[in-house]
Amino acid sequence: MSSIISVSKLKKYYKVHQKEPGLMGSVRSLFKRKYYDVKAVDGVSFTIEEGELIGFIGPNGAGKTTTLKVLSGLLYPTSGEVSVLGYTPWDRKPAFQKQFSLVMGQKNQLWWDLPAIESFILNKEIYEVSNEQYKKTLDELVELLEVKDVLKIQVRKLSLGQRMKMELIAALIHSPKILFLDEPTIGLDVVMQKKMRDFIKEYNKRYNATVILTSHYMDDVKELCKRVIIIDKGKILFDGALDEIIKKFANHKLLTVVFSKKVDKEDLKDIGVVKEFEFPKAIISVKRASASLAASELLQNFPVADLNIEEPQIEDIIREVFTGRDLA
Amino acid sequence: MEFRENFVFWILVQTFYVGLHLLTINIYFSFTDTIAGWTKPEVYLLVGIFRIMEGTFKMLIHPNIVKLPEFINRGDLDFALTKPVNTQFLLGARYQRLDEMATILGGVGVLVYVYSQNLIPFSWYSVLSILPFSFLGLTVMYSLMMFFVTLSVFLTKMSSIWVYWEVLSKSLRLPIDVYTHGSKVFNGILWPFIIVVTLPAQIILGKTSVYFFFLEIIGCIILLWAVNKFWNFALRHYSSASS
Repeated sequence: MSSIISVSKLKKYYKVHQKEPGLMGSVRSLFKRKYYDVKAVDGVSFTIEEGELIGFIGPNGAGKTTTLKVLSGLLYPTSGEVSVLGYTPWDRKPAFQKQFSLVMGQKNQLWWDLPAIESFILNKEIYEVSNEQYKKTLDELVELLEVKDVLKIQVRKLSLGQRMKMELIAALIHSPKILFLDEPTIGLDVVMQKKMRDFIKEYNKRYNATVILTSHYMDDVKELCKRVIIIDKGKILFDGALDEIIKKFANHKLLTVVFSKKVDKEDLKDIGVVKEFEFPKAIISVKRASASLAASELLQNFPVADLNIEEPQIEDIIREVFTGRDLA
Repeated sequence: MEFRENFVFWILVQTFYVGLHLLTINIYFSFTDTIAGWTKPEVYLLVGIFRIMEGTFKMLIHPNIVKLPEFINRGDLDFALTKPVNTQFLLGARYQRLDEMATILGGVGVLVYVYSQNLIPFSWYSVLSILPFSFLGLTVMYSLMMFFVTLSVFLTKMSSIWVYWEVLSKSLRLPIDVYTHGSKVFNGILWPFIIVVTLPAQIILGKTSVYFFFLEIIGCIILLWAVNKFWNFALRHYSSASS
């Protein structure tokens, strides 16, 4: 496999000014402003192979969306080198732009007052898609996303879920090789989130499209991505397989115990951090290195009916990474 | 066109405006025979050209340009910038207000009246030349507006741009000589306004040399080129918006 995207030492800094609150603050900022640099992306490097489906995760303001915007040519970087499909994105060559698509869950490209089908036709013309190809792609996507009945309804009258499906169709009408998805499931209910995930998975499989996905929902990442890139404060903290996150960052394990008789919660605190306690069940977080010792202590000193040693949830590990707190 | 009631109402409002404009001209000329060397039929001709230009501008250009500062401010240029077409063209051709056809037809009506009543001698040259003059005038207006709107990439907010448009559109309703009479300073400041409407009317009426037409063509080409360069330069500094 060959690299379809390569990013080397990418930096994107913004200059922003701070304004003191109130009227006097506004007057002062009119004459004298304090500027400072926001390091949205700060020396990021990675490569992506063709057909990969990658999760880009991080807290708000981590630099995920800025990275996607640089990769799609919207923003000029402060420094660094980026190659997408062999092109420099910010040159905005039409030949490059015809091969990718950007979907942003919080913004829409569809014409608000017109039926979605009008936006599809416009995109067909813009991307110079032939009539046969347009019809074939549209039919496939409409069937896959089950939106045949709402194609001719004004976009503003569609539900959020229907609108997001239409956004996807508009983005895919030219069959892009690369798909940048920025929080595509944001605001959707769980049923719709699942449908979107199924669609993204199917699209990636069927067309061997490269997909980069940012999301705050770990279910999206867990279900779709084998590889994840964790970014925080503009820097990459982790780049690898999803299950490697546990090995790298999880310094604790969870002991799930079922007691046969009543025990005092206070007594369990000597074993580790009691995360849940509702008789007869308790979940105790202990240091990874001392998990076996803690289990043996429990078995020796408490009336244990059942005991399991488990890895922590990925959500918890990532939360620990971002907050810098040790939950064990 | 999606909102039918609004469409019909706007046509009525525009028809009313054309009538009001002519009424104002009639009131001025009830006190005098000429204003800054222009007779009433000549000002009618100017009103006709102005209405056609204003209608075309508001139908094709204004609805797009008016949204640009907000697009830039809110980061809504994002999708346009990923499309494989010239962004200046894409953003300039997104919206059309077909209800402004009423303004254009009002202008055509005034011209039909002027020529049918023989208030100004009819000639095919003068009638047919309205088209290229209007095109060039619109090009000037588009370029100037686009220049100011592009500044919002750097300044983020440029709401004062529309004050310029208001001054421009109000000034054009009368011959520019009314404002610039005897003042070279005003001539210097208001030259774009002169090019847009008064110069075409002056050339049609034989009040000035036809060579200005060729100068206007050269000026338009330079303006369009410069605005396109400025727009592309500004896009390098586009910072989108947080999402």
